Amino acid sequence: MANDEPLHTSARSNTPEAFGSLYEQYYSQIFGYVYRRILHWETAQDIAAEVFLKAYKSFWRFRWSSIPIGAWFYRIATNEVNMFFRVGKHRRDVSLTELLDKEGFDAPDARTTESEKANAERELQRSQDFLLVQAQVRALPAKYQDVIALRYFEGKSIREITEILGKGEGTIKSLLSRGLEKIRKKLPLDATE
Amino acid sequence: MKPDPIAERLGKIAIPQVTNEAHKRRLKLALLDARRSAWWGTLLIALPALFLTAVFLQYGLGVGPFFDPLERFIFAPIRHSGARWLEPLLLFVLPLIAFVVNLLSVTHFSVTPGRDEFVVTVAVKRRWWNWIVVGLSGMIVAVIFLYAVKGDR
Repeated sequence: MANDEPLHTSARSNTPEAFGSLYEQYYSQIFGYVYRRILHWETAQDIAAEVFLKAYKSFWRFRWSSIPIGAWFYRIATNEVNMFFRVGKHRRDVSLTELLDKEGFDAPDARTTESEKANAERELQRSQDFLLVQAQVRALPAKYQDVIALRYFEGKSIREITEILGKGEGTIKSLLSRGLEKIRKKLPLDATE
Repeated sequence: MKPDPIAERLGKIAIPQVTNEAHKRRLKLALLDARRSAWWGTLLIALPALFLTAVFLQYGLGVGPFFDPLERFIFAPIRHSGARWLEPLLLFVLPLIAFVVNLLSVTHFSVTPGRDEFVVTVAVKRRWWNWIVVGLSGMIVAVIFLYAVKGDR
C-alpha cells in the first residue's frame, strides 16, 4: 500500500483536484476488489460508486498522517461490501444509476459497459480455481472473508491489512489462520489442484 | 517452519483481473467535473453580476449604494490604467466562458453510427447550480452584448 501512496507532497492536499488524481489511481483497484468479493457486475458498480461518493464527501477531513490513502479507500470498500452482505439485496443509499439519474445522464456508452462486463465474465470463467475458493470464502463469517480476500485475492501484506481493517497484527494473523483452517475443512487440497 | 499447504495453494490462485473504464469515466463525471465547472462559473460571473445588479439598482430603481463604489474602485482605475481590454474581459469574455463551460458540463452528446444514418443522443444533466450559472452568465452576456451593439455608453 505504501508504494501506492502519492509521491509528491503537493498531491497530499484535500482539494477536489487531488481527489480526482486519487480516483484515477485507485478506481480500478477498488472496483476489482469489490467485484471479486461480490461477483456481480452491476452491484459492484453500485458499491464502487458508493465507495467513491462517501470518500469524496469526507475527503476534506481526511488526515494524511492517520492511515495511507489506499488503505482508506479499501477500508470504505470493505465496509460497503460487508454492509451489502449484511443487509442483503440492493438496499443501497445511492447507486451509480441513481447518482447518474440524479445528475440527469442516461447511459451513453452502454456498449462499452457490456463489452467490459462480458470480458470480466470470460475472465471469471477462466479462473475456475478462484471461483471454487471464493465460494468457500463467501460462506465464512465476514471477519474471515475480509482478511482472506485482502491477503490472497488482493495480495495485501499483513501490515497493509492491519491498516485497512484497523486491527492489530496479531488479530489479523489469528483471523487469517482460523479462516484458512475453516476453508481447509471445506476445500480439500486435491480439489484445487 | 513448514509452509501451510492451503495458504500456499491460495497464494498461487490466478486472480481474475477486471477493468471498467466506462463506469470509471461516468462516475468521475458525476462526482467531480460538473461541481468544478459550477464553482469556476460562479467565480467568473460574480463581478459582472454585481456590476449589472448595481446598474439596475442605480438606473432602474434609483437606489445606488453599490454603483459608485464599483465604478470608483474597479472600473475607473481599469479605464485610467490603459488596460481597457480588462473591462470587456471581465464583463463579457469571462461570463461567456462560464456560459460555455457550464453548458458543456450539463449536456452530453453521443453519436452512434447506424447503417444509413447517425443517431445523435443529447443527454441533459439536472445539475441545478450549473444551470443557474448558465442562465445568469447567458443573461449577462446578452445584456452586455446588446448594450455594446446599441453603443449606449
